[in-house]
Amino acid sequence: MYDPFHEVLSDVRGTILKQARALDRPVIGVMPAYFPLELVYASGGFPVQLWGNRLAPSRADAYLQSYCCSVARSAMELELAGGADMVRGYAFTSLCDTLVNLREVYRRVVDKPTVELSIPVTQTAEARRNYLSSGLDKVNRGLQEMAGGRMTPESLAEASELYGRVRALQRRLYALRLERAGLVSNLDFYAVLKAGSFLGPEYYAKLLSDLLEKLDSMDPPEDSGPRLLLSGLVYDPLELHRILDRLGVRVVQDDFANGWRTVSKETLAVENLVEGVARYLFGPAPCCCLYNPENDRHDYLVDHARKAGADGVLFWYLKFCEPDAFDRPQLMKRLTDEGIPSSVVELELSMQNFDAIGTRLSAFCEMLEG
Amino acid sequence: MRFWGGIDVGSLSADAVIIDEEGRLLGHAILPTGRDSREAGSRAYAGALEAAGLTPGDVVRVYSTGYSRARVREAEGAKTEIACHARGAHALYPDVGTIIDIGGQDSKAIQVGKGGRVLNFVMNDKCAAGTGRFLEVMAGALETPLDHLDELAAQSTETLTISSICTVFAESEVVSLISQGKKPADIAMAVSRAIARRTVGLATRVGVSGRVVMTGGVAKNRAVVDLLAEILGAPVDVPDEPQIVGALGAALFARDERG
Ligand SMILES: Nc1ncnc2c1ncn2[C@@H]1O[C@H](COP(=O)(O)OP(=O)(O)O)[C@@H](O)[C@H]1O
Ligand code: SF4
Repeated sequence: MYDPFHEVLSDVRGTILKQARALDRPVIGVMPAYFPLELVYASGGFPVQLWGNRLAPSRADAYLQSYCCSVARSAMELELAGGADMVRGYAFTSLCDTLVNLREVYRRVVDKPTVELSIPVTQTAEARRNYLSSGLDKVNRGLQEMAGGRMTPESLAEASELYGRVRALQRRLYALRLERAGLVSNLDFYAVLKAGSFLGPEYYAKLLSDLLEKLDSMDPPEDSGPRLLLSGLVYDPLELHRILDRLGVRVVQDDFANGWRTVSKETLAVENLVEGVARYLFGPAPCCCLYNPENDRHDYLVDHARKAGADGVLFWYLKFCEPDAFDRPQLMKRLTDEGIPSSVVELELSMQNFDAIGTRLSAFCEMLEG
Repeated sequence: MRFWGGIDVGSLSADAVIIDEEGRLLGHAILPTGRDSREAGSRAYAGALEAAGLTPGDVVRVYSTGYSRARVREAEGAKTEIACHARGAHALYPDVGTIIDIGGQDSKAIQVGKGGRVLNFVMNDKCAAGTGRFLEVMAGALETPLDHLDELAAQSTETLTISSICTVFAESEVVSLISQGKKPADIAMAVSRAIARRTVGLATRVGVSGRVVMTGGVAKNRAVVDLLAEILGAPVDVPDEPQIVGALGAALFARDERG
């Protein structure tokens, strides 16, 4: 049932090439996070989301400091090693200092065009719109030059519908996982999500609806292990979900930047694009990388965990991700105050040995099961 | 009489215990793990049985714990070191609040609640700094047997500092202190203090409350324990045989399983 998704992940390169040919669109690499894929698609490109990979760093080390996270590091490694030769250009957001700097490094080292959507850091929604209105045109021009298409009201509407549909289907999968905890294994769940990063929206939407249709009539196994909410930037490395599966953990909800924080976003409103992008970026889920005084992460996470009926929260910390590390102690304290147990695992995308983390996770489960 | 067993196969030592219905310790064994962790577990178990004067047929059930817990042949169930150290230490000290366990390649601080339940824990498993391995490397550099390191440190008169956290760099600091003609006793003390300081950092992260108990092989080093108590500003208790606390916890879990 999940084979099509796992197959994508076992041959990402082949998949991207095949999809790009079928779509007849140039591949645009989209870096983390929240860059509206709709804009790339409406400009004639095929957006592929690059959230890092398992390459061990070697060439990238020549350009990046040692305290740079493995998402940025491995993305650059892929480019320098020639693994991203099909990527015509890159779309960045100003998500964090690391990515802002990475784009500067790319501009000097990588001979490919880049654009950067600057995420406003302002107090009010109005200031946000003002800020975006000054930069969005430039981003859109850059995308059209890169992808070679023309962004029109029609192409925007089409892209918005397609990606809106994809996210709506993904939300259905999330809802199903919550209602019937354990029905989809953690590994399969995140493989399904991740596969979407490398597929055209229409094709992916078809795979998703087929899957949902099959799952609709299925029942979850009898109650078993603890219900967890995972929180972090990136749901990789997938190997860890295999360990969670083995421990009988049922992940019922997440707060990943490339998980629920993105999947929860409504269809991009394109009539007023500035307004639409502003709302897309800042709603509904808060993020350690978004400054939004009106959307407090502490309240949100407690509420998110409660609604999911989670027994505990596991922070999925990618080493050297500063924004994530900065928020965590207070988030953990707040969860403790609210009587929600939490724990943290520290990860790197290229890690190979999961023994120690496995012990940590099973100890957390034992703790939850009392 | 019915008996239960616990086997803790860690990265450096394989420890086993046999207990009776009341949880009383009847025999134990501590052996180096070596290359074959499965074999080491079996040998430790055989040793504990022999010490207790029993045969495998007398034992109702065995649980395993430790790094290689999944590979223990005799075990019918397994629990993590965290749960087992908490359980074992609680059996020895019913009012325990905090456990500090420093083993061969990792260190942990565990907050324990009623009945030996784990409330919270932190682990250092990424780096040899502040672990038994660190002590071993330093003992090697000082050409002193590991179990004499604390006696040596007791003769210290001058305060030296090891500033590197990394075991490899700390070793070269030790080597350079030796070549500067510093007294081995002072170096041994500095090494113990380095471990104690790292450990306090770990313990503070989980929060220190109630009676503090130290388990694991490094608890056999009096210098480290005393320094730890001094820096924490609280007494630190060490069981008679700190290395078998995990195995004891595993045996208690085995006993508590019904049937
Ligand atoms: N007499 C001793 N004095 C100081 N340290 C000791 C002594 N005996 C053992 N150790 C330390 O204990 C460590 C092993 O502890 P243990 O708890 O058995 O580890 P593990 O469970 O990880 O195998 C060794 O690395 C060694 O440094
Ligand atoms: S993991 Fe953190 S530091 Fe790395 S790119 Fe993402 S937000 Fe930035």
